[in-house]
Parts: sequence; C-alpha cells; structure tokens
Amino acid sequence: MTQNFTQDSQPIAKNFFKKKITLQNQYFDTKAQLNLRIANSKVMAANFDGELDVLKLLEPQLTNRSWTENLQFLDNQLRGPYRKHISMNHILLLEKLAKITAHVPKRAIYLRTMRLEFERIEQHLLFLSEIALKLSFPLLQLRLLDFKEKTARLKWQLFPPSNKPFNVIGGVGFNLSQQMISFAKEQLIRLQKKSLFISRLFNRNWVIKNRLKDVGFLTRADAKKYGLVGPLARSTGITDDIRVSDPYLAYPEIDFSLPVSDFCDLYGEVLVRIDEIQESFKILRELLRNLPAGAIKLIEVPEELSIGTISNRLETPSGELFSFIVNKNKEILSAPNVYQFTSPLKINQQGILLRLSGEVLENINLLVATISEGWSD
Amino acid sequence: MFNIWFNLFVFPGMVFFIVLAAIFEHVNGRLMARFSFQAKEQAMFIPLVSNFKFLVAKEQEKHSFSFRIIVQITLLIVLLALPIFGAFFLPINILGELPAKSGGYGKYLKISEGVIGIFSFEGDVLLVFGVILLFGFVTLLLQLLSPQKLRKNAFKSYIQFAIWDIPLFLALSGFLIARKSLSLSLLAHDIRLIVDTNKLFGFLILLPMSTFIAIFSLSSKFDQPYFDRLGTQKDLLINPPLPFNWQLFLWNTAMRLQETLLAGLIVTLCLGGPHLPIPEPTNDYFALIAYSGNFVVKTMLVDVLITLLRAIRPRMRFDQTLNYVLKISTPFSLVSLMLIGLYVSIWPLA
Repeated sequence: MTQNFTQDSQPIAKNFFKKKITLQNQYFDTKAQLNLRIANSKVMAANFDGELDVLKLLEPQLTNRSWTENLQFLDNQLRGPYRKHISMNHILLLEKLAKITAHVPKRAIYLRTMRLEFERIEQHLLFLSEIALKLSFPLLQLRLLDFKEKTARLKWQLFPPSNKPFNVIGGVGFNLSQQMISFAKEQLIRLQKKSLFISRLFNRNWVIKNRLKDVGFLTRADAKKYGLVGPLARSTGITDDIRVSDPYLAYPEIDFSLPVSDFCDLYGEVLVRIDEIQESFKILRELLRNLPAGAIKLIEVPEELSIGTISNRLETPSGELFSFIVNKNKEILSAPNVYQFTSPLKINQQGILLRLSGEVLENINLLVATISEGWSD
Repeated sequence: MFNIWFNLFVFPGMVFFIVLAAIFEHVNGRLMARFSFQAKEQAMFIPLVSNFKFLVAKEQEKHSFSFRIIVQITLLIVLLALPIFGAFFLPINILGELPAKSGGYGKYLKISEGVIGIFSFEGDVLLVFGVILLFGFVTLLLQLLSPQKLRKNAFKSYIQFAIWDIPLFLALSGFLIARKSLSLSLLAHDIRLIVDTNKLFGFLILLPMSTFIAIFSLSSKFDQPYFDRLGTQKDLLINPPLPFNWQLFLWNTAMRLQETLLAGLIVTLCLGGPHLPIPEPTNDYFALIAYSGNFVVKTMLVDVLITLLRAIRPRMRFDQTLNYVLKISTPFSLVSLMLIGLYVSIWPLA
C-alpha cells in the first residue's frame, strides 16, 4: 500500500535526494517505511510503504475466536495501543448484538468510562514523553513517565489487574467500595495538581515553544478535506469528538469541555493533549462524585445473539475508532464472521504526510514521533 | 622526577589522557542512560568504550579504497591528534623544568606552584585556542566529504558546532585581560593569587561569570548532531546488530577527547587547576600523583555538570542556537569582559 503526496506549489528541484526511515512497531512485530524526497533541505514529497494500521493484523485473530474468548483475549492478553478502548469497543458491539445496551446498570457504565479516561491520560503522557525524547530533553521525559506511573498505580489500586476480564456481558466484573472511592477522590485531586507542571513547562520554556511552533503546519481546510480526527484535527480548530457528537457510555451525563487549538501545528496538538489530560482528571472526579449505587451487572444475560451487521464508534486518545462486524450465528460461543477496524491512524495517515511535506530536515524526527500507536524510528 | 618519555607517553601523559576521557565518557554515558530512562544509549552520548564495538562488529559492506576515503582517513587522524596535542598544555602533563629552559620562569615557578604543561611558553593559550578552531575546521572538511550530506547542510552543522566558540573564548579571555599574559602556566598561577588576595573580585566577578558561560557553551557545543541524524540514528544504537563503522569510531573518539580537553582548560583557568582539594605534599613523586588526582576529580565534576546541563534543557534548533549565541550568550560574556577590564583599570592588580 502506498500513498503519495506532492506539493504542487513548489517545483521539485533537480538535485533532490531520497531518505528512508524504517519504522518499527513495538506491539506487533511489523515494519513500515517512510520515504522522503528532499530538496533544498526540505521535504518535497513523502509516502509510507507498508501497512501502518496495526489493528488490521488483529482482525484475523478475532474472527478465529468466539465472542467470549475474544472478551478474555482483548481484556487481558492483547498487547497493543489503547487496548482498553479496543476491549470496550468489543463489549459495546456484543451488547448491541444481544440487545441489552439500554439495560446495562448505570454504575457499570460509570466504571467503564473511568477506565477509558485513565487510559486516555496514560496515552497522552506517552505521546508527550516521546516528544520530550525527540527534543533531547531527558529530564522532562523522565518526569512524564514517572507521572504516568503514578497515574497507573492509582488505576491498579481501583481496578487491580487479574485474570478475570473487567468487562462482562451486561456489566463489569469489579466494584468499588465506599472507602476506595473517597481514597480515589483525594488522590485524583493530588494528581491533577501535580499534572500542572506539564502545561507550565510547555507554555513557559521558550526553547520547547519555538521548536514546536510552526512545525507540521496544517490548515483547517486541509484537515476538513482529508477528514482528519482526534487531537490532530482539534489542533486545527475543528471541534470534533465522538464523546460529544455521538455520545456513548456515561459521556452524555458528564459536563466537560473540548480542548481545541488554533495554532494548526505540532504545538497546538501538544497543547490539546495537555488540556485533555486536565479534562480527563475532571471527568474522573465527576464520575466518582456522581457514581450511582446499585448492581454492577445484569443478573439475567441472554444467551442468544441477533444476526446482522453492526458498527460502533469510539473516541480513542488519538481519534475516532470505527469498527464493523457481521454476525451469522445466534450462539454466543460462535466466532464473528467479519470483524473490521478503521483505526484513527489510518484516517490520519494523509494528514501526517501533509504535515511532513515542506518541512525542514531538523523537524522530521519530531513529526515521526506523532505517528504514535507504537511506531517509532 | 620520572623519566621525561615516561611522563610524555604513559603517566601522566598521552595514554593517561585517553584513558581518562574514556572513563569520563563511560560515567557520562551511564548517567545519560539513567536520565533518559531507557536501556539503549542515546545516539549523541555513546560512551567512548562502547565505540570499540564499531570495530569489533562484522563488516557488512566492503569498501573500495577511493581518493575520498584516503582523504577521510587522513582528516580523521588529524582530528584525533589535535586534542591529544592540546592536552600537552594541560596540568595533567606536569613537568616543572621545561618552562625554565624555554621562557625563564623557572625561578618564579617551582613544581609546587603554577600549572605547567609539557609545552609551556608565552603564547601557549593562543595555540590551544588555535587547536580548538582547527578542530572545528577539520570537522567542516569531513562534513563536506560525507556523501549523505549536501554542502549547505554541512556548513549549517559546522556553524551550529563552532558558533559556541565565540562566548567560550570571550569568557576565557577575561583572565587574559586580568593578567595581561598569554601563558597558561602564568595565568593559572596568577588567577589563584588574585582570588587569594582579592576574594571579593575573584569570587563575585572573575570566576563565576566566566565559568558559567564557558561551561554552558561547552555543554551546548557538543550537544549538536554533526553527522546527518536521520541516516545514522540506526547505526548509532548500541543494540546489536551493529554495523562495522571505523569512521564513526574515530569521529566519536576525537569528539570525546576534544570535550575532555576543553573541560580541562576550564578547570585549569577557572577552578584552580590541580591545586585543590588534595593538599600539596612536599615529595615530588607524591606531588605528581596529587596534582593529577586533583585535576582528574575536577575535570570529572565539570563533565558531570555538563551532562546535567544537557539533561535539564532541550536541544536547540539551528535558528535558536544562532539567536541564543548572538543575542544572549555573547553580549553577556562581553559584559563580563568589560567588568573585569574596568576593575583592572581602576584598581590595578598587584
């Protein structure tokens, strides 16, 4: 698979040279290549060789297992980007097939949303630490990874890692005690205060600010034209988020704002992600404050699934994840016939190439870091 | 006194200097790896010892000897020789008798006073500065020879590397003005006396301003990517499989030696050379070891300080470097130079 992009306004000079960057995925054992055509120390054209969408590799594995086996696999064994979101996507699809979406207890929905927001914070911190590495700023990278560890520790205290899947049909497998809720409230306030160092650093350090500004400039018109999603689109001022436009789980009941930036560059994307970390903390605190009492799962679960095609949309940390399934068997122990993903990276691929074109050599490694989803050079 | 040839080549001479640089770089590499929180070492901070892996690794491509490669080898050997030559002026090569023969300072300077390298004479500071400038020029020639690099980019990375010399030289020139001398041994000795007699001037104006600017310039100077980053990022990783790359081995070794030389120069001029903290013994043999020990400890501290400075700030881009050097660092060093000049003209030093 190859995608090409050339900038028409700049004629390609005679003495151009080619540059190949091999990308390695840390979750799946695959490689891809980023080919650059450089003239006058600027990128004139860029294209990817190989499949960037690693979720495509997951599809055959999912159609070989039954619905319940997939539940266990996605929750505990999968190594991949935003895996909590992928497993949540699976359970939402399954509940749509079983036609029990409306009957899932509210407490379970709130707990599920909490788990997703924890992952959003972690993924954004990982993204920022990658940027810090490319800026050759080891201390910032260390602090970001350390903060990620602290957030993960709180998450593990609330939802301890075990062999049992977190998501079960019609609810969740874990409950929170009242003591744990008050503990988590205190910890979240503490963590949110601590997280302010990130925005302080990225806003005040003039070296970082100037290194990220105007890097990977992308106009709003182009972002709309290529249908970009996630923080990449929001950095150009597009207010698009599935949590708001097509709400699921507990999001319609929560009051939260959508961070958007008008910088239209990498600095804008970084600011959007930093603000989203703050918003996620706010969401988590609100979820804990309004956590409804009651059961965490349905007592009677239907054993038959409906036949047909179903799709689902979910806002992952890097954008919209679209999934589509075809089910031809009524039994829950049967495997899905078709299981397809469209990952946000697949949608944003053109946007990343667009960002690279016209960019000077020094900024390329910064932009390569934004590919995320486990890809690194 | 030891045999002069033993001093010149083994201890505390050439071999000792190279081993010293290797140890510093190994400590720094580990420190940097700890900072960046990952197993693999960063491309720019490969410890000198790890560079030998480039020679041990199996050869992947056979190079045919062309004219360009012969020129490249020559230039790389010159690059390696320059810091080793420069190190003969540092106090690590103590030999108290030579200046007496060359310049006649012997009556004033015994081995227990002053800092004396093997080649000490009036004007040796200029020669060390010349070595530093020549080192930069040879890096430029090597950049131009690199097949991966365009000529424009070669000049760009040379400027990014060499521009830090401006504040560095200006900061160290403060000492030349204060003493009106061009001999490293006299300068180091006299600066010690100035600080001893006039502590207010020494500790508030003379030492801190110059030291800070020099150390900051040095940390930024060797923080720049010289080879094309994109092409060599993969080669520079320590993790196997590692390609055979003798050019990179020579290049990295020369860079580390040069960094150690500059750190040694800063220690000699700004931080009392080999005199503190180990007290001066009367025995000549112990004095040699004590002086070397003092110098090594201080150079190592400067090296660690430089590593810490690199860790607590991001690397600058080309335009930012130019802006910073020309608008902030150089004016600041000029101000410090002026302050020292003013002080010396109003209250002449004894």
